Amino acid sequence: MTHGRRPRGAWLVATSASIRDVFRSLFRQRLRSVSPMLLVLIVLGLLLGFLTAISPLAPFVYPLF
Amino acid sequence: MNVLGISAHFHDATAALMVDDAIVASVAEERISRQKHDASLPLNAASACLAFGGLSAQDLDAVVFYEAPHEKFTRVLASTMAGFPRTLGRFVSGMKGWLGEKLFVRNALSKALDVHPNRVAFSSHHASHATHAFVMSGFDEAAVLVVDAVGEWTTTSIGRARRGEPVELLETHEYPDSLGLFYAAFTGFLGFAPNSEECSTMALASFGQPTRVAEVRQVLRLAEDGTFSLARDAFDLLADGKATYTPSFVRRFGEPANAATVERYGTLDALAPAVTVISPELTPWVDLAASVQSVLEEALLGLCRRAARLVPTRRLCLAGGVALNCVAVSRLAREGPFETMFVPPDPGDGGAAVGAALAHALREGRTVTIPKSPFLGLTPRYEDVHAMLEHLDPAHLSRVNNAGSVTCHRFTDDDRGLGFAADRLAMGKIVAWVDSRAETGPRALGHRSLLAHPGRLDTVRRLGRAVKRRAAFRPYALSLNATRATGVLHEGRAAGTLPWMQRTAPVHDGLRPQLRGGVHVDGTTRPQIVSREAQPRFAALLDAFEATTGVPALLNTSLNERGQPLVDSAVDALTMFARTDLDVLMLDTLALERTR
Repeated sequence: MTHGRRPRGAWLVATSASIRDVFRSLFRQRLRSVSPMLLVLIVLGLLLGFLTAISPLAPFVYPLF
Repeated sequence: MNVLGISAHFHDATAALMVDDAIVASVAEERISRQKHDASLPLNAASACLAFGGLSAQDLDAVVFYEAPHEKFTRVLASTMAGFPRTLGRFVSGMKGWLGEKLFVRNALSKALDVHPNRVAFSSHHASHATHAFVMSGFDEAAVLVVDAVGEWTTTSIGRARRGEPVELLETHEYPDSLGLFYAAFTGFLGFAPNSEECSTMALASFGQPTRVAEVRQVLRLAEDGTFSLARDAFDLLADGKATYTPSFVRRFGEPANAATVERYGTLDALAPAVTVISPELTPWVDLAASVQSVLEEALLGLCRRAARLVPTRRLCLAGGVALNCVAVSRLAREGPFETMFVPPDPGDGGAAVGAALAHALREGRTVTIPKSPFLGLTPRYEDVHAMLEHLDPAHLSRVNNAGSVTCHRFTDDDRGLGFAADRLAMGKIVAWVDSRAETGPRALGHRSLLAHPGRLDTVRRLGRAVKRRAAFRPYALSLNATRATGVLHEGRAAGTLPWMQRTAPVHDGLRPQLRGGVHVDGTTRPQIVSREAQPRFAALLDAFEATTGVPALLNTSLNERGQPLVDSAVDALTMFARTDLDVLMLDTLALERTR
C-alpha cells in the first residue's frame, strides 16, 4: 500500500507533537517544575530561528547569544 | 508490513528495512559516509536499504526511531540542571544540540524521507535492543538482559520475551547507575577513547592480574541481589571527551594514563609467549584493566542470576553495547545460570535499528522474521571495479604507495579462485576478502575480512604494522569450519552456539603454535565458527587452506585501516588495496596481486 507524501505545514504538526511529548515526559518523570524553564527555552529557540531566517540579521544572531 | 528502523545521534547510526514483516537489510551509515561511528541521521543508509528492498519511502507503513528522543531530552535536561551552576556550560552546549534535529526527530525524518509525520514512531531504546536479540535468537521464550551505557533513562533492563509478542521489560535500572558508563570511564582513564575503544581495555586486561578489584568495587558497588550502583562522587558523566571521572576517582586510582603510558602499552605483545614479564611501570595499568574487567563480569553474573529469578527459563538473550565484551560473554555462558545464551552479532545501537522495526511490527500484532545470519548489508558492485580496471592499468595501483607491481587475475572457475587465495595465504600473504553482502556489526565475518596464515608470525606482525597499524597488545581472531570447532577449541560445542565472534574460547594447547597469530596471551581466541550452509564459499576457502597447509583455521580481522569503518563497496576495497601494504585483493572472480 502506498501512503501519501509529507503535506504542507507538516513541520508544525511534527514540532508541536515533539514538544507535547517532552512535556508529557516531564510530567511522567515528576519533573514538572522544569516545565516553565523549558517553555522559555523553546520560545528563545523559536525566536532565534525566526531571527536567523531574516537574512540581514542572521550573521549577528548567534554571536549575540 | 513495511517498516524502516532508524538509530542515530549517539554512535553507529543505522537504517534497517523490514519488507512484508521480514527484515531484509541493515546498513550502518558509516559504511557509506566513511566516517567511523557516524552518528548523523542515516539517510544514505536508508536510501540504500529502500533501493535494496525495491521500495520508495511512500511504501513504508512506518519509520521507527530506536528510542524516544523526548524521554532522553528530559534526562539530559534534568541531569544538567541538577548540577547547576557547575553544569551551566554543559547545559548551554547540550541545549544547542538538542533543540535542533536531535529533539525534533519526527520532523527531521518526515522531511528527509518525505513521509507524513504521523508515520514516524518511536520504540524505547531497551525495547529495541531486547526485541532484536530475542527475535534473532529464534527462541520460543527467553529472559532478556540489556546492558549498555544509557538509553532514555534506562541503563540496564531485564525482560521476558515470548514468540510473537512484544518483549515485556520487567525491571529497569536507571541513569546514572550504568555498567556501560562505568567501563567507558575506565577506558578513558586508561588512555583510550571511551564509547569506542572498550575493546582495547578488554585486550589489555588479559595481560594483568585482577589485584585491584577491591578498589574498583568501591566505585561500582555490587549488591547481593544482583543490583549495582556507581559511587556518585567518582564519576562525572556529563563531561565531554575522555574524562568522565572526578578528582575523587583520581585520588583512588592515581593520575590517568598519559601519552607515555599509552606508548608503553606498545611494548605488550599479544603474540608473545603466555608468561610475559610486565614492566613495573605498566603493572598498575594492566592490573587495573584486569580488575575492571573482572568486576564487570561479576556485575553481569549478578544480573544474570537476578534475571533467572525473575524469569524462570533456561534461555537468555543478551544485548546492548556491553554485550560486545566477548570475554564477559564467555564467562556468563560458562558460569551463568542459563543453559543457552544468545547474543546478536550486532548487539549495539546498529542492531537496535533492526529491533525498533521489529518491536513496532510486534506491537501491531504482526508475525515477524529475521534471517539467522548477520549478512544484511549491501552487495558489492564488482562491475564498478571491472569498469575501473578497463581504463586503469593495474600497474598504476602500485604507484599509490610505491610498493611493487600489481597483477590482475580473472578466474572463470570459482574453485580456481579459491585455490589461488588459499595458495597465497599459505605463502604468508595478506589477503583482503570481499564476498557478497556485508556483515552488520563491528566484526568481520568472512564477507569483508583481512585474512592471513595464523602460524606465520612474520605475516601477522606485518599485518599489524603495515596494514592495520594497530597496537600489538590487541589480539586477532580465528575463523574455522564448524566441523573443526571441537578439535580446535575447548568448549567448542558451546562456542558453536555463538558462532559470530560473540565470545572467546580457549584453543587446545597442542594447536596453539600453528594458530598463534589468532590466539591471545591468555590462550583464548574469539572464534568465528563457519557454517557451510550460511557461508559455502568461505567454508570452501577454509577447506582449501587446510588442504594446503594442514592448519584448520584462518586469522580473520576486519577489512579496514586504522580509524576507518569496515570496507563496504568493491571500490572501497580497491582504494584500501592501493593505499596499504595488502598483498592480494579477492573480489569474487577477480584477484589483484601485488608482488615486490
